[in-house]
Amino acid sequence: MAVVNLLKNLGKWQGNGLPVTMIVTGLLLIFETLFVDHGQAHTAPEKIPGFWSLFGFLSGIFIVFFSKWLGHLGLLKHEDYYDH
Amino acid sequence: MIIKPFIHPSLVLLAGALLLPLFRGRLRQGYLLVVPLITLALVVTLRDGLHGSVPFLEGELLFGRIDTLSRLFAFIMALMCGLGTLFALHVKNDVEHIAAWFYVAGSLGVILAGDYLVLFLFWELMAFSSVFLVWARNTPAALGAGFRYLLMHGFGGILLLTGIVLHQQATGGDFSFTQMDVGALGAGGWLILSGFLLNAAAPPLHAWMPDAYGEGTPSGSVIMSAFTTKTAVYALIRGFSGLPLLLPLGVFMVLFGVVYAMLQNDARRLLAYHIISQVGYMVAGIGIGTPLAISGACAHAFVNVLYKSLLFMGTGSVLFMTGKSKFSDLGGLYAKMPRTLIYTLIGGLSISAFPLFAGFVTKGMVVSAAFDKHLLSAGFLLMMASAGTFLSTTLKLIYLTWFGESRCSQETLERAADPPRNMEAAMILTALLCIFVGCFYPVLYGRLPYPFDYHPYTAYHLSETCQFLFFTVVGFFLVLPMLSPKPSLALDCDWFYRIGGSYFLRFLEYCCSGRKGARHNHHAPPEETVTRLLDYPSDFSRKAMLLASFLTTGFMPSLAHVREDPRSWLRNASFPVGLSVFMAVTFLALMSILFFL
Repeated sequence: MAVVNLLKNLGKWQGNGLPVTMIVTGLLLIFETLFVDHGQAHTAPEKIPGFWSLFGFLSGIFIVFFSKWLGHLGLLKHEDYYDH
Repeated sequence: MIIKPFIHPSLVLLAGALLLPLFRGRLRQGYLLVVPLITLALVVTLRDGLHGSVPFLEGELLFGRIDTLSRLFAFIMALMCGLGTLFALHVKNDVEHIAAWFYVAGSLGVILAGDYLVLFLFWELMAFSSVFLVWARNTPAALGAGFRYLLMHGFGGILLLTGIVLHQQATGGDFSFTQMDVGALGAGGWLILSGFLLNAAAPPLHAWMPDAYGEGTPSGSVIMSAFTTKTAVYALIRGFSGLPLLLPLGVFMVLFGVVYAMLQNDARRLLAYHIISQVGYMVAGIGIGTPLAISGACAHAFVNVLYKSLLFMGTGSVLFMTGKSKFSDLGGLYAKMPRTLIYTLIGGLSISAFPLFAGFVTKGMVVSAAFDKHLLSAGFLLMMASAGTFLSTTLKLIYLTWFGESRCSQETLERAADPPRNMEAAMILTALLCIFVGCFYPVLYGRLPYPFDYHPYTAYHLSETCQFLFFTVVGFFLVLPMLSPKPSLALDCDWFYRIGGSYFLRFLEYCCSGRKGARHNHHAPPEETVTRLLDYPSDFSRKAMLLASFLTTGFMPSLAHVREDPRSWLRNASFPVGLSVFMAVTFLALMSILFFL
């Protein structure tokens, strides 16, 4: 199965995930700046090119750090917590 | 509308379940597929109107109220019944199939119910049948999770029934299940809403879900992921559309689910928290209350059944094949289970609202409805949670299971392989449906209850979504070291009844047996505690219980009961009437105090 073989090869190249994603996001920003009409934007900040990129990036980082912070506050316990 | 007789789809499933033990071998497999297909055919042929009216006391029960809304939900439930049964086709245990079909029958019954009594009947059928899908895993953890599941749903049932009675009194005997006056909900309305929200897994009434879905059988959790919460969403749409409280609650659910999902080490518990998050979008849409928002909630519930079950199928396949579901025991399986990875990835892209996949055409409806109504903070928070959904459901789940460093034992690696053909067939069909809805969305839009103007495939929406998701991937790679899995458990609201329950048992033990020493045994399981309580009854505690029951209820226990050892009450199931009533009254009094507080 060609797709499966492709996937296996992709798996071997998984270390290159970040550079590939950076290139794709760069292309998306160029596409938005040149071709996208912001008439559908609901708020002024949405009309700034790259607004949703920054929003997605910061949201992801915030959620990870916030959940880790909650875990450090005492929410995370050992697996057999309820057995004791 | 015209009232005429009809065959209730639930009847087919109930009869099919009861007859299942008569079939064996290949005939049984065919039978397992035919019954859901007949059910689906019946649902497809349902015609608008009121059907199945049965005289009851001075009124009537209405079993079949068919309209656009109920037809949409009944269709996806019947379809999911077929896909779930196909996924579980290899399961030899009849109890699991029977429980699943009773459970789906309950869900269809709720969706088609025309009045609150019928709704309550099927609502409880769902709770009491689905617990067997947890117990069927037959592990101590599953047994405990099942009891807690039952406890919480029993509590939800009490809330619902009390609400129905109060609502019926307030409306002068009206049991009809219709839109409430959300501007003036009485005590009955609020209690009914609480019962619905418990099944929708709205915090703080949600902890039963990750607890039970994480411990269910691989195929049982697939079925459970689709029905309870989405049936509750249907009930909320039917009864509470436009209730302002639901908007902040929905937004909170969306964020709560993604934050808690990040803390999970178990793949199925992670997905269960994401159900809370996804249901949050629907609850928020119901709270916004505009035609676009309500239709968005319906559409999102429809596709959520598909992609969430697909994700549970993917993780269930890993569990079925390797015996593991914790990230700390998995990793690097892409070469061993490549096809399962593809199906799970499709589920992940669907839930993350990636273009061409199911979630893209529905999630945007709710978010757009929030922006259209100038609810900017709600709109941005819903978008923020989308990043968390993509991070944990797609990136974290798939990376920690199939890529990265392998944390698998030798045995896990040897067992890992793509699952049996029936499981794979169910995943292929569900994955194709996710893509079909994402590409041919007018098929779904044309079946939604309200007219609206929304076009998902605009350049702006595509650019917005792609940028949002790809930059989330960049963020994921940067925080990847923080996501390394560790064997851990995140405390949740179930802490109160799990820890509180053990203290309550210890308190009972101390009061009834008078054994102070018992308090020092912190490791005694509940069964042992109860046994010890009965082994060492003190005369004082027995007399105190009987006296208390007499003083509060007026029921004098018989001489035989007074002389009897309490162990025989349990053995012969012959508790003194007064004592039983005393316990019930005490419980209700406590509940009333809690309610009025």
